[in-house]
Amino acid sequence: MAKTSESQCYFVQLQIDSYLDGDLASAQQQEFMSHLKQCEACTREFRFAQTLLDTVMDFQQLDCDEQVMEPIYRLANGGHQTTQGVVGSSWAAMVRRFNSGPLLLRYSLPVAAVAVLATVMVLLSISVLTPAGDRPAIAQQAVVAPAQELAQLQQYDPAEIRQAVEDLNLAIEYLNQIGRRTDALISDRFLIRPLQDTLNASFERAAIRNQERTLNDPI
Amino acid sequence: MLAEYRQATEQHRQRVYSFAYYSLRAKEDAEDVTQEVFIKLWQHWQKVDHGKLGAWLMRVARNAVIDHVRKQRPAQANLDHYADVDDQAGRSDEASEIDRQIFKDQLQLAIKSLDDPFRSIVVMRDVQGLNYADIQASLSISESQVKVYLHRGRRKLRANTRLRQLFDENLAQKSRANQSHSGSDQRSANDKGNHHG
Repeated sequence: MAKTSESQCYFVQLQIDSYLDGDLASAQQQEFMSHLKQCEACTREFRFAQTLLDTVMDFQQLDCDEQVMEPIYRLANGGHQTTQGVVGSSWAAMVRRFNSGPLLLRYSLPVAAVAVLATVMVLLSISVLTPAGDRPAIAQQAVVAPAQELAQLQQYDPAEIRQAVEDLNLAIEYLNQIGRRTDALISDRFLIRPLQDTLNASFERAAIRNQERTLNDPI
Repeated sequence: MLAEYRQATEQHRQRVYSFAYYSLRAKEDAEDVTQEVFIKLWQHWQKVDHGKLGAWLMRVARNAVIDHVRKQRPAQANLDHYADVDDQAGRSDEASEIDRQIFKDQLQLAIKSLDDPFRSIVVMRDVQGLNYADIQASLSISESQVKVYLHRGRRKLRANTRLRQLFDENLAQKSRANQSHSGSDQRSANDKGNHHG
């Protein structure tokens, strides 16, 4: 085999994969093959690449055991996945059913539940603290309240409820700011400054007294 | 929906598992990845574009493989002792077959040791025979990038010294066998000539 230049070999070796993939034009292919006929090193490299590719392509397509897929099918049938594996659970199914329900139901149910719970708590505390015959009017109203509240809540759509909550948060934040400012103002006007003034005045008085005493001292 | 899901798993299971196996070279890890992929498919069933399901699955499989590789890097030495149960069962006693098997094992190790995306692309293209469009869709890169990574990945495999050594040994063995074969042919030709003479 005749000797070829190093750069030519480098270029040909770069083309090995394109040749194997059939991406070279016919002229390039001829050039490539004619170089291989002259160059032992490139022929060796080409045969190595071809062997690797043939071996890789010879790898069989594998499949996993059926039991690998079993937990997945269980999940698909209504199970619940945990970090340890896939375990069936009725809770997951319940949550899924709840999540797939209408939006109004998803929002109104928790709100109604909280309202009912709060009302029950109020009723219980009133019934414990007050005698049965002397029950205030508000407690009697509260007995009727859950049903009315539920009826009222279901009239609002979730967007309105979300808006109301946002407005409420905004109002709370505003009130907090006002409160902080008022607190600062009050403490400045009625606590800190008067206190400072009083202290300063007492110090001044003490200093003057000391000065007078020193001036009047015969020694 | 469940029937469709089962059909999809049957259709793509082998591709996902093979990809995971040749990327991780460990049966149990490949099974874990396959499970992860199909659980994700179930979780995202409504959102997945079913026209591009194969590409979506391969993308998820590739990400799962990358996660596994990241997790196992410190304990990599333990990976391979249980990897070849299937392969070893089919081994022949013939020396050439063993050589081929050793070469194959070494090549699998070399593929596993490639960094991503070289590993994914070599497995998808050369092992699984996916076309460039599928690989492109799975990895969200252009076709020219796929080709560049594929060629670089193959060059990295060719740069593996152990593989090169095995190939050279095999070549030398073959040439010795050829020489001895041609030598014996020559001797028998000479014997025939003498006999006739």
